[in-house]
Amino acid sequence: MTATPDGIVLRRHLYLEQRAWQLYFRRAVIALLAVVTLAALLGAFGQEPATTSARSARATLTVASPDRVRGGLMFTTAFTIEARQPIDHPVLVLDGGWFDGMQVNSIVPQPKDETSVGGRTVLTLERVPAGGRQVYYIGFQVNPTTLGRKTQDVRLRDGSRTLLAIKRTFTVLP
Amino acid sequence: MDIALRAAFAFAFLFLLTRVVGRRELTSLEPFDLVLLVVVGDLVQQGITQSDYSLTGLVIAVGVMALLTVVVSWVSYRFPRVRPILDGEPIVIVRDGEPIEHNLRRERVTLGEVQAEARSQQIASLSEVRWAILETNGKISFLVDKP
Repeated sequence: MTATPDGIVLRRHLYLEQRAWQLYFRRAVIALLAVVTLAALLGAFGQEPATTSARSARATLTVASPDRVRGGLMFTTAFTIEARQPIDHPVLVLDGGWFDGMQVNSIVPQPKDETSVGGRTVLTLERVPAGGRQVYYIGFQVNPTTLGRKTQDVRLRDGSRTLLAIKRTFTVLP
Repeated sequence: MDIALRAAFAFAFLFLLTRVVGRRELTSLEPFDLVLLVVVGDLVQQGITQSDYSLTGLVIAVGVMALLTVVVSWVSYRFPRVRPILDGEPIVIVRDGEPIEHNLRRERVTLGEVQAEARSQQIASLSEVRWAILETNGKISFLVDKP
């Protein structure tokens, strides 16, 4: 039997007494990393497009847009209006959460008018005839410092009369 | 403030990763490991500075990393009880020429790796080795019988 080197304690460094927790800790962290990876593969961390619709006798409004993104990501939102009866003065009213902490890269096609009322963005669109369908695309990019949950409600109005409303929440992960 | 918090989180995350990944993996820099190191560096940079190309951002991010390195080092020096958590502990893998299978398995080190490391230190056979110790930096120290 040979002398133990300086700084080596056999109970601790050979027989690993009182060191079992280190192994369990390592395994727990690796398991956590595996769970995070699996959750990412299942889309838990965003950018998957989500589609929300509202329907009435006069029209259908559909919003296709991710409801969970990460800072710095670019994405496109599509607002689709399908009219069963003519909508003479279609107006989209977007909550402040659509633009707060976001960059707008483009709006296609351009609305007739853009204004802000009570913190909401109001887009005045072209007339939609009965049976007509209009799609408006907005290209966004999340500001890298934006974080948290926002309300992204959407209302479709004909003039001042609300036809449809969609309630959405939007989460920006760090 | 945002960039400082990101840098601190990245530091803590990388510190945790290096503690759980395994010390041998971190010292053996095969070509693939080298490429991986560069890729990880790039990914970490994007997460910390994002679209900030300023010198101010650089100073904050690197400053936070340097400061935390000093803090970890100081805590490790000042509080010996915390040292095993921060620095890890050596582990005996060969005693009197006999490999300690349980410890090798725990550190995911194969007997072949130990033998290769021994050869690189002019030790032909593990039977000559009194102690082989996997150090906290991932290197293997061999103590042999003096002739």
